[in-house]
Amino acid sequence: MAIDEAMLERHSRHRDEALGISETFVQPRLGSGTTVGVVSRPLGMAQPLGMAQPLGWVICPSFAMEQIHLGRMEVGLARAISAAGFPVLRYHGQGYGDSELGMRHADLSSHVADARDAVALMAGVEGVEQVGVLGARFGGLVAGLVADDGDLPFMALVEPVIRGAQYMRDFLRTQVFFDLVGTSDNGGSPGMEKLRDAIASRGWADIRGFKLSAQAYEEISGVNLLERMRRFHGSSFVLGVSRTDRFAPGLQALTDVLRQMGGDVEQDVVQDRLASNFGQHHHRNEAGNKKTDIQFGLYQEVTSKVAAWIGRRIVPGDPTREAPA
Amino acid sequence: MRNYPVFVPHGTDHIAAVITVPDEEPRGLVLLLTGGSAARSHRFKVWTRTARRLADEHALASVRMDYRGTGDSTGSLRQWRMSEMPVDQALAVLSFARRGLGVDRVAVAGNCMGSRVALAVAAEVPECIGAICIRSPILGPSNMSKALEKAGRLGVISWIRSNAYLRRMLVQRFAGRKKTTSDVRRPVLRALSHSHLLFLYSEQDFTFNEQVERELNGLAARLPAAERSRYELRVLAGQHLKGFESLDIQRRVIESVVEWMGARFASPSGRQASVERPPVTAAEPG
Repeated sequence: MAIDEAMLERHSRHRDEALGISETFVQPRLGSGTTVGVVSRPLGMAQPLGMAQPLGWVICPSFAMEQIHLGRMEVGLARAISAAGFPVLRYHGQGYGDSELGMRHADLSSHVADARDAVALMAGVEGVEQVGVLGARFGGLVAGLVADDGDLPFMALVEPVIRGAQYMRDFLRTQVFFDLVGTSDNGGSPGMEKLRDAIASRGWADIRGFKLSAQAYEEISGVNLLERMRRFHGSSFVLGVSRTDRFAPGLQALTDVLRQMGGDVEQDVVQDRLASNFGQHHHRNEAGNKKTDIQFGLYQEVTSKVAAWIGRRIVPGDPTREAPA
Repeated sequence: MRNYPVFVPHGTDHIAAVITVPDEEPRGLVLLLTGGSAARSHRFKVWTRTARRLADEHALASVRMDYRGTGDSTGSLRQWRMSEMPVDQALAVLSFARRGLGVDRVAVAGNCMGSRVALAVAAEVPECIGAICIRSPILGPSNMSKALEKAGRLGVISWIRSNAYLRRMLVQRFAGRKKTTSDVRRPVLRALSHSHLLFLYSEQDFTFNEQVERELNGLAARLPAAERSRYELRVLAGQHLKGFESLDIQRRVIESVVEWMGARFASPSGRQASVERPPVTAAEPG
């Protein structure tokens, strides 16, 4: 019996009348391979409105397990921004989800290459003239690099990684702690040095199931967002996620750099007692065979603040016109 | 091999899924289900990698899905409850994929909570010829455990725990005592009437112990020989399967699923490959 291609194609999209958006699966080539993504559009975009929504957004996914844990928040962000009047592209980067290539291909270069291609793809969507980028944690770092390199007009960074060396140290530590609690059969704690030795000698390390390549380790360890931002002068939103209402020093330094380059910057903080787990595992098993998403509220607040910033700064239909104060 | 990402209508929601199809005509369809909160490709692309191997090595199509409120599906989900398993969503996606591909014979594999959904699907669908339940939590609390849990909510448990004698007498004796519930027994027996069933654990899984082995083997032992022969329990040596948190575990799980599914669909009827041996625990050499 033949495959009903027409039926499958017809169901590659859906409309959400209540939210006022439609979503379409796409299978573009991003970076070095094909992958699966979703374009969310305000329902108006389905009409031949030409230049009606000239600003599109691309969501840059995060690294390793963060890609998984932040994925659902990014879906919420895409839908909220789209409901506010803008098309949004989200995608699985190479090494993740439905992408063509394996985990060992995921490094800083691949993340940036995926995001650049995604920006080019969004720029080709009918009616889109300019593209803004956004991302959380490592995805925020990638969004910053791509916005800077591509002279993009808008970026929103949620608790972005500033110093890659610290990020990699923390990442390796997750494996060390994992071994310490005796859940690995590796014969005890290998320690940070053993992991680094494995990366150097074998070319990769198994970090709680993620194949961290030597290239990823070296590239990410060597990146510092403060030093890499050189010319961005568009509008940016830097959102911290903190246990207190204070903006972290690293993020403050980033906003200072952005202002020095002539961009206009808005900063804000989402205060949450689980802030230190942002981007990490966020489900808790509870009595009665229940599993609760303990960062559900945090993700909603992040989404709400990013969508509100976009609503304040940009008039749908004309990215050169900022919303009235 | 081709991929068809789709949104499957389900009530007022749309369930996101990716159907992977081999280059040749598919010999069958495998539904791949994640645990409670993971997206369709599962952690570390485990289901994406499985789907590609099923297509390339066995000409099998597969469909992997995001439950409502996860991945790219619509809706929101703050809390998962074992008592509200999304069996209807899985059946909707399976039915959609079968129509889209024009295949009759199906099988299903699920991990953790998804294994319970897989079991229910296997019981429900007569054309299902095989189901793999990975790291399946099959034991429910006993009545005494439930009473202790209720007491815990009232603060009684902390008082009991503070007393060494009471702790020994009550908590250690009864709190861990669990048994299979009818939620497990019924679908196991029903599924085995027409489908093969593989329970896959690691020896370190907290969802697996001697009692689990006893309960499962005991269930199968009550069946006629033909049905009993469709049951298999496989225990992998080494690290637990939870979260697929090592490359080696991922490889072994994928290998097990691909090999077992390939055997199920090896003959036109799907019956030839039945495991003609008594239910045993076979620990894989390390």
